[in-house]
Amino acid sequence: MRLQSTLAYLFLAFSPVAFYGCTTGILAQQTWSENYALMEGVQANDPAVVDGDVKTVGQSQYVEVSSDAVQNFHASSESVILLPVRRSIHRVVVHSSNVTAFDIWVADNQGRWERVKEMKSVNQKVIDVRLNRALPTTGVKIRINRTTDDAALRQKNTVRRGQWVSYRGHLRAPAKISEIELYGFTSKEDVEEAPSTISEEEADEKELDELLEF
Amino acid sequence: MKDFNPFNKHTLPISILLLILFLSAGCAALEEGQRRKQERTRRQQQERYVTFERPTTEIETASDGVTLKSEHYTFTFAADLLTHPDYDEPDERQNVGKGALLFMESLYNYVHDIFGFEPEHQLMVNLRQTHHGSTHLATTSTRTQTIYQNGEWLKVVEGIEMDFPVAMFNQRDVRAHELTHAFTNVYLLPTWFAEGIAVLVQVEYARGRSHRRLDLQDDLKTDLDGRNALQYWKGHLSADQLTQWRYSYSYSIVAELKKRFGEDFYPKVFRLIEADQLHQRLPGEMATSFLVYYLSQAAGADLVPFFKELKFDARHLTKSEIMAAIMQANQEQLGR
Repeated sequence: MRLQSTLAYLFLAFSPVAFYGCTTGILAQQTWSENYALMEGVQANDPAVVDGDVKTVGQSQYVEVSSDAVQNFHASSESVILLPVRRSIHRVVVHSSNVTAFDIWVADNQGRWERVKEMKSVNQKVIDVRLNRALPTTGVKIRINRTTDDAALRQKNTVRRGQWVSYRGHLRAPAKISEIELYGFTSKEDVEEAPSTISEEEADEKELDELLEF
Repeated sequence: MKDFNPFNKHTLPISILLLILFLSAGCAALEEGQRRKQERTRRQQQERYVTFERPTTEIETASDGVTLKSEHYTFTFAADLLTHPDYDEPDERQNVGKGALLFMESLYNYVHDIFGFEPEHQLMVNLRQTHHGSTHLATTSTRTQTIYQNGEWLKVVEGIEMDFPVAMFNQRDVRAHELTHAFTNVYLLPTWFAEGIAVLVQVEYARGRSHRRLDLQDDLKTDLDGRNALQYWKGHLSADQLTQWRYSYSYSIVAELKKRFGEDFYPKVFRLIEADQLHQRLPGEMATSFLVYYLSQAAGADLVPFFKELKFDARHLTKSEIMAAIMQANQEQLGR
């Protein structure tokens, strides 16, 4: 009986602490990391999409299957970003003036691509996409399925002679992409690796938060 | 009395120590293995996609956005593009121009890494709606001036200009092709070789799909004199039904030599040409035999039979014979 009451007191005494610890843990997890696309050593098939300037316009690049003997005018275009180290990605922000449909793919351990999100009928210029879960990866690519410039390009590059239709260039326009941002959640490693740009007071608070997480 | 057994006394701490050592060594090996695997996967992705790091160059933009400057380029929107809805505002030109220059700077470093040398001049890039009336013709031209120095006439480069219609500029492999010309034009290479090496970079490095490798024997074409139809090709100015074949066949020769003599073969060829500086004394385009002399030097093998088999007019030359031929040609030109 005595043991039971002691346990009950202990539970009552520690539950606020435990609750506080849990909430700070959750809140800490909800903090977005730095933009991983701006890390040192990141590579992209157009460096303008990872230059940190949302005004600079880059574009997606056509992808053609390596076994193609001739140019594939139906080829879609992609923006590929390769990270120097594995990072868990949970949020992708695409700044584009003409993209209306695209897929997000991430590379697995073997370098194989897995489609993790499909975006249809997009009409914003800044598309903020949350993935269903945090995906640890060293590569993210955006495959462009449709842009507002496709129709004009198709018309320009399609030649009709009677019943015959031939093509003289690409039928899908590349996406004009000014920036792609990649975020995960702030982790302890990130905090340790990140250069110290916060004040001492903030650093103390952060340290306390981390201690409470345990 | 209890037996004193030192083994029993130290067994536990030793076991713990050994376990810690074993675990930490195991972890380190695992981490190293994972790091290597990541690195290998990343290399494979880079090879597949042609990716670049952000260049560190500063970009200066004119207030009207018509001209932008970076470390290696001056980029200009041509007059015929200023009314295009995508480029008619200074802001649009500045933003598109900055993006284009970032890409071109990355590509510059990429081509530099392939050849190991770079042009001495800033490259002028002109983006146009049409070039020579076409939306599908990109060109690179090198302006030279002949100067008299130390008793001889020498060609010096005054400027390198690249002209792209928008449709061509949007193709990464076309930019790589033209940039290769910007790097190599200074050597006054035979047209077939200049185009071959540009297509090599376009296809094998920039992953372009517009040209394919041909069989050097089965796909050989000759002119009426029985010579390889490539040898006296004058480039895109002499476009005819053989044009596509010429690009592809030139590339096939250049790729075959790279395959035989390795990745460093062409950087070595250009190093040898640069060291001799004979190209500066050439009155015009380099003769194929002159080039074969350098190709053979770089390969460490006689390549005249290889070119003869492909129906080129090629003969063995020594450096003194090349010098004599250049002097004679220059005197003839001066006499005229």
